[in-house]
Amino acid sequence: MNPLRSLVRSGAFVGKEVAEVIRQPRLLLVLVLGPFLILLLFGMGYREEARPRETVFVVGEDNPVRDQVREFADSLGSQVIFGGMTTDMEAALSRLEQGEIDLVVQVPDDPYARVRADEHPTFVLIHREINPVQTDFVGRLSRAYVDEVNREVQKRIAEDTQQRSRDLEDEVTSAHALALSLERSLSPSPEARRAGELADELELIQRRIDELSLVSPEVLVQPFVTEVRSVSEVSPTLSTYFIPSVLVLLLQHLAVTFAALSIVRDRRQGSIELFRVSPMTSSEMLMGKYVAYMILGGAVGAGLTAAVVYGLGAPFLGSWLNYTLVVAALLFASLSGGFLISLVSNTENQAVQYSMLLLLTSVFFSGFLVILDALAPYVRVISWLLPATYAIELLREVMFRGTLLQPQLLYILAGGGAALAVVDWLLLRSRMSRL
Amino acid sequence: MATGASGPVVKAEHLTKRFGNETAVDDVSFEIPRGAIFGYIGPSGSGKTTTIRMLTGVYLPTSGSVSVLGAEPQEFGRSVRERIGYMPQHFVLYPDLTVWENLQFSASVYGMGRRGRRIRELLEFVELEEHRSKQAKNISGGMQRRLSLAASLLHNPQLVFLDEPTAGIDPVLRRKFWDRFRELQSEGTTLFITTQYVGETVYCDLVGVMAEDGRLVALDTPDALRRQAFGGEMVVINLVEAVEPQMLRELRGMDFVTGQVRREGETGVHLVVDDAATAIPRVLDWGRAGGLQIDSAEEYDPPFDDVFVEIMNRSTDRQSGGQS
Repeated sequence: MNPLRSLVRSGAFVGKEVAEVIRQPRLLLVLVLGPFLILLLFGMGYREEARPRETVFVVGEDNPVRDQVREFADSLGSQVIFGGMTTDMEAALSRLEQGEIDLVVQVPDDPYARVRADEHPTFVLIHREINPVQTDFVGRLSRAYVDEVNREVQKRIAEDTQQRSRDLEDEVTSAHALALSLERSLSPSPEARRAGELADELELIQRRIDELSLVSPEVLVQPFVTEVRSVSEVSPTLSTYFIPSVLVLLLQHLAVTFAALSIVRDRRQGSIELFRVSPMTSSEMLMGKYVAYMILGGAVGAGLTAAVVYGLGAPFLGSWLNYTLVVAALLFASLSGGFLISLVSNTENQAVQYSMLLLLTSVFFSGFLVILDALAPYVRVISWLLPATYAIELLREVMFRGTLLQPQLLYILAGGGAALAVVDWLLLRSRMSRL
Repeated sequence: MATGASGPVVKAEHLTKRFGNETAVDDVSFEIPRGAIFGYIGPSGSGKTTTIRMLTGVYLPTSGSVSVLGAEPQEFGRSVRERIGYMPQHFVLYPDLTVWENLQFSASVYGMGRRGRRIRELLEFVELEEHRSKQAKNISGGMQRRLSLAASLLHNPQLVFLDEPTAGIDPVLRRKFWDRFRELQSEGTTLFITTQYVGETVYCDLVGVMAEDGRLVALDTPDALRRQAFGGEMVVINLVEAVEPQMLRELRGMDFVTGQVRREGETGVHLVVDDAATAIPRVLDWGRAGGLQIDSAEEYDPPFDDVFVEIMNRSTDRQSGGQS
């Protein structure tokens, strides 16, 4: 076998495939620019904060917290739009059903009396959501609201307690002075010692009262707060965080689709008959196609990366070498999958359908939409069969952590691609053999 | 295994191919000597392409044996494949590539290094130089056939299988193609050419005629086929006066007449003889002896369309006779 001739034969496909793709700009637009623009628009337009709810409060005229209801609502920030107060529950519910408002809050009657009676006064939140995510949000909103109310109530109790202790302070000071005077006048006697002990106790109480008045009511009712810090150098926004996964899905889809259409087109067109008669071998043919699509995928990948890193300002902490290795392994494994699709498909339509099915599977199972830990272990098996799953993990590490924490994922991705390439070669060899 | 210089380049023995219950090629045997043009004629669906596919190793025969360039197609090595050129019946090159790029691609498939000059030569031969920058999808069907032909000849093969190379080509260019095939033949190339244009048989050294049921019903040189079709050579006599039935009866009784004697118009007679050169003087003698005025008596080469129809009819008669 002349290796130079073998290279020339493989080279036939490099030039041919690249020229064919370049001659089909619409295909490139549909496969690359289309999904990229859709995801870009989504990323730019997606709002990370929840939709504000217009809320009407149903509260009795003589309710002691009536004046604070608006204050509590405002304390929740933009999540609640105060829609007014009413005493008419039916009218409020009617407005809710008509979709004029989002939420009705029924404030409990005479809440203080209920607390004194050792009962929980209950705020009832009534909504009209059917989306389980939004229903869950209303639940969280209700807890935040009642926490705010409880905190406000506790703060007022604390203020009241501080005020009462300040009122007591003068009396304690007088009693302390009196006890000291008694101690001096009765000394030395056992009574003088007891008066001295009393003076000490009163001094301690005085100090406690002083301490109590030094602490603000806010700290008293919520002594502990949390603060979250990250050792990561960057904290990507939600939109930025999705950039590596979008890149991976686009490149995987591009490589799979190109490869899936490639061999099936040769077979449908009849060119494969020509190759059967020629000295071209299945390995030379496959090699040429791999190189062609690696070049095309690499060019598209470089363009997309430049767009997101330099155009959209996505953080990039890692090395370009690691990034290139991950993208190359992703393209290689995706091409192997695409060629497999091409070899088991009978028509180009079938190949496109299989490619779309793989894209859909990747959207749901690769960690793009939901984290892998949220999937049941038996479903995660599917995740780890997808090149995108490995590449998303790896690119996030390279871009946002600046290092490859799990290099084994890179090895598995490349190794899986190589194993699939062997399967492709065997299948192609069988297709190229005589009938 | 190398084929001997004098041995046949292609040898098929009892070659049969069945697809399920359908027999595409039925017990076909032939040999093609080195440097010959073998014409493979038959109606559409008679198994011509299937035969080529068995000879090139695309199909495995159901039964029978094949030897091409001294090797069985299922054992073709790279060196044998490099010596074979193949032009499939349909256009299988790439419509999005230009004419030039398609030829570059085909040259690469055969591992050719420097190929620019060779491509230009073939473009000139198939008269596509002006269209070299056009995408294959933007040229006519005839041009696509010419492009396929050029692609199959790029690597200077010793044996070329051309599946209907002249289909859809205008008569002038078809003639040029055959001239080129003769040139290739003179350079030692063996050509296996299928065609539905029966008239092209005349350019071949050896002709195989396929029937619709996949049988090879005739295999010989064009002249021999002509004799085979009509039972001898054909002579046309033109009399000055009208031909009488008595004259036809007399001619049928002549010993040099070996086949049909029939009247053509008022004054003409066609007769099949063993050898036209010796028969014509005897016809003239017969005329003089009978007092007939013979305007002309000459050998007649019937068109190959007639030869083909005659062979097909004879084959059908033989088959129905055999069945009855």
